[in-house]
Amino acid sequence: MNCREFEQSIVELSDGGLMDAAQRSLAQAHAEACAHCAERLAAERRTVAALRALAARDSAVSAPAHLRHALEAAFDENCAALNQAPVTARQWLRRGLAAAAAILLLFALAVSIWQRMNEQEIKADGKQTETAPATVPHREAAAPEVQTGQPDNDSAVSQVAGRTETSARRRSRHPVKTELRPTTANDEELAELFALTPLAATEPAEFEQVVSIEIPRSTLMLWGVPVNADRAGENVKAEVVIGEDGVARAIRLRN
Amino acid sequence: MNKAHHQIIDEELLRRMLAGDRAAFGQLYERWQSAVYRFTLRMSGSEAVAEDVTQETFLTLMRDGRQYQGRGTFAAYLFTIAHHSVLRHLRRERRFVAIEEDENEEQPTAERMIAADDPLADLTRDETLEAVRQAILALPVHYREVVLLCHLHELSYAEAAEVIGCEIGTVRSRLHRARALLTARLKKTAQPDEAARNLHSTRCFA
Repeated sequence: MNCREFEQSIVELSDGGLMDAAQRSLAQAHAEACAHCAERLAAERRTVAALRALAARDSAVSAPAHLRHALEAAFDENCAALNQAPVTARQWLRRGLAAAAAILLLFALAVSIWQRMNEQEIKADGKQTETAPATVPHREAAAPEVQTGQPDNDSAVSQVAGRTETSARRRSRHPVKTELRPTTANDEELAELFALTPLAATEPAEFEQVVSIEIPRSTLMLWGVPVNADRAGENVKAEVVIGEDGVARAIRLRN
Repeated sequence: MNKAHHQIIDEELLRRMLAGDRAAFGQLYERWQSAVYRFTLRMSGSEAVAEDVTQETFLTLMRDGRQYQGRGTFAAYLFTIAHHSVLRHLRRERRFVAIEEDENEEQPTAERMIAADDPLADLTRDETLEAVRQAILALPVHYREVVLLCHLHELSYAEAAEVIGCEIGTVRSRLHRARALLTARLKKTAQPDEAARNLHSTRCFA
């Protein structure tokens, strides 16, 4: 055992408490061989003795007598308060009914809030489609293109666009191009209509809205339209057909 | 009468007290008021604080005594209440009188100590015991509380850990360090010329 190990066991050694017999023998042997540790042990034992003497002297110390009287008075008041207001069975029944009513009210309030949040979410989805046009084509990226051959006029838009699902989140993100004609984005007007949802071309529209927007030409590449690299940064005008649920159904490019 | 027997009596008195037995409260108070008062007095160094904390402790026992459900000893439960209360007082009054672990300043109790080879040779002297009290009060709070709980109130390491809210190993290591600090401080105050000689000076590593 060295001095560091001796220091680790000095508390038990000086207390005279329970200690592993082998460990105690080693510690005592070290104290006999090391004058510093022997002195350290003696000092520690004196400190322990001083603490015990202080504990013995302090045992006579008590709290002031008036404290007991004050606490007993508080105890009486406490008991009186408890005894004065015993809770009867009728009171328990009233409390139970009040709690049940409160729970029902909370439930009704929660349902109401949930319904309003649902409505607001649908409205917000529609507004987002209107105000953030550039996101529409990006969101519909990398989709297979299917030629459906719809004519380029407003009535055709009505036929292509249509409600497909009730929830915007469950809606398919794969765009369907209604008519693919070999052309470039440099053309002054790209009149064909691109369906942005797979069912847009097959389901009739109950309500739709056409919104004019501007999108970067580079976005056209997402639908397979060749774009002049020199003009990729320019914007191109387009019209987006938005369904009743606020989701973009189809897009037509104009310039 | 061993600790287990005391525990049974305390639990029975508490049960009766909570049922509204005033005499049981009186008995319980008499059994513990001194310990609680002494602990808080030595923790704070102030009789006023000790009085307030003792009162708060027993008021808390009246109000929340049902929360004690036999987990741990009643002593540990009561000291836990007192410990929390006295720490609140100390924080409020900013009476933390901590010593640096390698401080060199002159100790306030030095003049009270006997300038002898063994400062603790006569443990019956009031000056000597007062010096020990002051040395305890000068310890940092987290050392002071373990010294008081384990030495002056003879709580086990497990009980002290429950009171303080730490691990048993932490109690043990704090107690070890606290006693080393106390020993060094008492030695230094008695022998100011040898103040420079500290615990770490002559390790032999034999």
